[in-house]
Amino acid sequence: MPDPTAVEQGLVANLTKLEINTIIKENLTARKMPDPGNAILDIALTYAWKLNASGFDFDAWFSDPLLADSGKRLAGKERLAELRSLETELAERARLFVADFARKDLGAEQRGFDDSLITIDAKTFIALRWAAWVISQHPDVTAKRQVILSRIRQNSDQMKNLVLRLYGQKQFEQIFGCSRSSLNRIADDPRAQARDIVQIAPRDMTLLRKTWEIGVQEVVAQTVIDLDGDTITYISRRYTNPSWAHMLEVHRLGVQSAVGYWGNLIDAMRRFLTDLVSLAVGGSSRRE
Amino acid sequence: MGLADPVARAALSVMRRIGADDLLLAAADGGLAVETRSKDRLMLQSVIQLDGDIVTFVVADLPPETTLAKAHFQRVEAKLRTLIGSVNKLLATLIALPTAVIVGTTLPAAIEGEPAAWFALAAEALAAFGAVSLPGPRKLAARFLLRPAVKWMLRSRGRALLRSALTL
Repeated sequence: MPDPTAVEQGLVANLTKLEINTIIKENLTARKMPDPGNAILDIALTYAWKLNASGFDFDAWFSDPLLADSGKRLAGKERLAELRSLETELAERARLFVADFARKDLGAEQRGFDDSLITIDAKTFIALRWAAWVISQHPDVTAKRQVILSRIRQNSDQMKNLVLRLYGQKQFEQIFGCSRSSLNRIADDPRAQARDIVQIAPRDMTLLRKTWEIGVQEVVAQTVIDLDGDTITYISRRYTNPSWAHMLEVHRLGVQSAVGYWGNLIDAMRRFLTDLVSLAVGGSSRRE
Repeated sequence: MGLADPVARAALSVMRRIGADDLLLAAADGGLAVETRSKDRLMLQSVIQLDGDIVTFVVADLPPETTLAKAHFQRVEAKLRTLIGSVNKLLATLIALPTAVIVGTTLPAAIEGEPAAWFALAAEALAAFGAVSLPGPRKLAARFLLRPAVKWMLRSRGRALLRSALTL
């Protein structure tokens, strides 16, 4: 359970933008998002499998000494400095990979990869981000695939930042660097409890849930509404055909529900602030 | 601040008491899911997030008639109404906190035997209670009582503090 005093911060943090997504999902199941550690791994593995399907050689990419776990547990500023330097070097390396990758037939040569390389670490998301960038530079990448690659890049950056915010937390340190198999192996270990009690701020939990839910699914329609009234709706070209009109109606109903809630939420916040101000103004008028 | 913190634990207990559990659940799980089935098959699933974002998953073979979708979003809106109710309760509780501080500062005056302080104290306590627990007009009346109480408290305590400062 989160700290209830942070719930309000989570509410306020993201109130300036409303986002409604409608996604077609084959084999829709009521699977619930797992504990944060497994959810972070789910996201990283989903991205890795998607990138791997393009023929990207993950084993070679992750076996780079840059990404190897030095075993050192750097803290605070040292760790941040290490990650910054990794990001710069990996970006350089990605540029060298582009020419080689562009010569390959996209997705023709698919190979598996060792999923123990995917661990709960900011490094994982830096590696995924730059792998997605390399693939996006291939001349045969379709517009549809570019959308997914762009999402992987953006979300990897956000997940990296989320993981960075968890660094230093005692419970998180216990699962830090775990791959899926090592996370499962600690099921009988006291550390297993750590998986469930990693403290994630509500706004990060919201981000984690959304990233986990959307994964690499194709979005049928997305509406983004800004507080200043700007509204942008993206509709995947495939679903503009009249035979998919009922899907767009589903999206419209979603937008209608979300806008109604958003209005009430902003109104509640406005009343709260007015009450606070009236308390404060009461005080200042007496000082006169 | 984690739950090991006694303040956070107390706040959690208050939220449970005022019935804002679903808000906590939404914060803990990153959202609330509303699911609609047809003939035992999951057809629509919406994940509602605290900030109002909604992600809806639909099966590809959703029937073209929109009855199922409309029924689904009626349930989504019912859940959103519950969430807004919880948000209002949470905010009312938070606004009650400064009021409680004011009550705390009036208490010494009442104990010292200033008769008007007892009136102020009672009014503030009622207002704080009203902000959290009372519905509709009674909440309004409780808030109405808060204003003169706060005015009196700030005036009298402010003067007393000024007097002590000048004496020093």
